[in-house]
Amino acid sequence: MQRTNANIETNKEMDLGQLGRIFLKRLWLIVAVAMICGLGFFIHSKLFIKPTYQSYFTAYVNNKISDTGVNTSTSDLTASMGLVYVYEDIMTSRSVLKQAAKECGTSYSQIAGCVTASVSETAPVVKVVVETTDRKLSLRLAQKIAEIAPIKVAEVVDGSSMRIIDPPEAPNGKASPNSVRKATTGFLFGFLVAAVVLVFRDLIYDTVQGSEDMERRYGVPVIGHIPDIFQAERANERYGYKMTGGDRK
Amino acid sequence: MSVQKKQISRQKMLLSDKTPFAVQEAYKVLRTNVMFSLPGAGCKCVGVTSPCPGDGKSTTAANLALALAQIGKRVLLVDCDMRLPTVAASFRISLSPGLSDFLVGQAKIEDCVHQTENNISVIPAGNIPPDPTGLLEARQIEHLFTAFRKICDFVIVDLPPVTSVPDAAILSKYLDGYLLVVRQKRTRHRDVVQMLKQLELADSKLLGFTTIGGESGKKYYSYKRKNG
Repeated sequence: MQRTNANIETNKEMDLGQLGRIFLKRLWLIVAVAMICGLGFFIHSKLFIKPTYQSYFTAYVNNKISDTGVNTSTSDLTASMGLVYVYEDIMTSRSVLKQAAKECGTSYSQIAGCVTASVSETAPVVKVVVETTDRKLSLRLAQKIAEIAPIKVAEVVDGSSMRIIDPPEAPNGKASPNSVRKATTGFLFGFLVAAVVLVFRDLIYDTVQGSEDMERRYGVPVIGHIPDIFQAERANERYGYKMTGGDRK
Repeated sequence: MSVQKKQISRQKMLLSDKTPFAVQEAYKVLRTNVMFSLPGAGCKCVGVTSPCPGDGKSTTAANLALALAQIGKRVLLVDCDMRLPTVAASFRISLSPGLSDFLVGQAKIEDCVHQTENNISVIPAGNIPPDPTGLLEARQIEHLFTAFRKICDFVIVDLPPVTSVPDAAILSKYLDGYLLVVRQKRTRHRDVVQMLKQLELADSKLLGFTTIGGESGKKYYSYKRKNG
């Protein structure tokens, strides 16, 4: 027996530990939801997302036409670096893509979003990537752009040139979707959502969970636990005579 | 649920031979722990309360009284919840005359005590008064508990919920301890905290908590294993 000096004031200090306990208590459910999400994402990526194929080429761009095609001075190199973004835009411009699409037997609107370009940070090198759902189209389009782009660059920027470093190659495999990555994303997403929902649910409802919960929170002993009478009755029916009081043979 | 159905439901909740074994054993454990929490000779007055209505305190109080009577103790069950009395219905006795009638001078205490077939004495709440709190602060209460202690081994007092009205805390000076009843997955911790704070203000003595609900748990099966 004790006076009412139960742990009322320390309730707030126990919240972080309580949070951890709620999380651990529901861990099996959180993992189950995460696995279901991961599996769902995996199946979705396998069945509903069309695979895409990438073909790309890299090109060295130059602001000076020389016999070797190589910048001969630091200032030339600096000038090329400054113009490389211009070359990037030219290589992915509508006129280049339209011509390339026409020669590949498709239309500009179908391939407009499939071509991207990026610039190296250290050298005047542009990488053009073509990604479509057709393996052969990706290769043909990349090859056509590699043919057309140097001509266009020379037309637009006086005194410039473009040389292909890595020509387009046939895609080895699909570029996307990465089913394993999708499944991992799904797993993490499910894990996070389930964890947040379950933890907040427990915090919001904040009801007594059991004897251990009471003793831990308040430091007052639990001297009795009375089971639900209806559940106990059903348990009696389930197990037959063995559960009947006094009938122990 | 209709009034009649509620009464039948309450009667079913009382300890009897038909009560599931797990529940019977649970009350025996509670009985033992209450007795060990109140060592020493003499009558013990235990108040049974809870944070909110419907947590199971009246049933717990009644069954604790029955469990004590089963081992030959002289038990008196007093229904001090004069706003929502349930003890009379559980034991199928009349609500009046009862405690409130005695406190207002309209009945003798002898007329208020009912001897049940379960070998416990029961004082029902009586007619619902306009000011139960005022009645419980009357001087007669002290004399009443003094008289109870002379004739009983245990006085189990069914109190109203602590957070609803102050009646439970008012009687703290007459009680040897409080048994706090909470219901799993229903009683909120904020209500438990409020209850503890109110009892702390009244300088009350706690025997401990009793949790209601959930499965019978491991205790029953460990007993089974011991007895093969």
